[in-house]
Amino acid sequence: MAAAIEVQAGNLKRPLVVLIAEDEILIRWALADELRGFGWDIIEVATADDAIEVLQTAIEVDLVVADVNMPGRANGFDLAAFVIRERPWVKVVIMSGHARPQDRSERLFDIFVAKPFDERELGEQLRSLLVGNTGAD
Amino acid sequence: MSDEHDHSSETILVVDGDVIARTVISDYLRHCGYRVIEANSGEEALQALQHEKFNVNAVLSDVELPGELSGFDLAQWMRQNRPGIPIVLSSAVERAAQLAGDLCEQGPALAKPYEPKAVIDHIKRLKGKQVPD
Repeated sequence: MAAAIEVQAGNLKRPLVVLIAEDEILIRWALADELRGFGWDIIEVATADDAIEVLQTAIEVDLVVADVNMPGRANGFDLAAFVIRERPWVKVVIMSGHARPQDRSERLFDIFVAKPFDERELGEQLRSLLVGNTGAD
Repeated sequence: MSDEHDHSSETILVVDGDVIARTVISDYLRHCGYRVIEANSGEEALQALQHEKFNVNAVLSDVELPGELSGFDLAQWMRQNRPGIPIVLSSAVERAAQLAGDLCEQGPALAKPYEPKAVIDHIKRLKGKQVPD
């Protein structure tokens, strides 16, 4: 049975759901592929606007991983601010090659990742963030 | 299809600007055993097709896409530059799910894990239900 459909069935144990907002397809795919290896459900979007649209559906997202500079109206920091305001239980990871964590005074993220990054290392960091260090989910 | 053909390494590129439809259809194909690359636009699809890492075997694309390139433009580019890779276009999500079901029947598992109708129902459910604020 499809994991994504199990999520929709609700209430029962479901895979973790991670929303990746990144406009570079190579980076997005590599990270998504790494995280799918954990058995998680991954939603890939290329803009913060699409990410906000997903967050407004019935999909229960556990973590948003966002680039800062993306095409469209909203950037990654705007997306993070939306999550903190509207979905405060959702964890946020910001990744950027240009922006710095101190660029915004508010606390907008759980982890800040400088690009370029190793997706395997980031995957382990995200696993620690979501399920602790036990390696079990 | 030859029995000697290794389906497990087959890669499908799914091109759709509708994130919910693309995600559900891509996950369906993954459950059928395919490796799936998701592209949000024709421009992203071209990047994937030109990157050797992806080694795309078939493309499933929506006709209308965000950005400058439509599905027709993508098909035309492929006819000139990647003539060996089949592309199927659809303008409706029902058709896309059906095509994905057909791919499943030819794919690594040689069977559909669930029917395309379930894919459509799932997309509609996800789109129809907004979380109350």
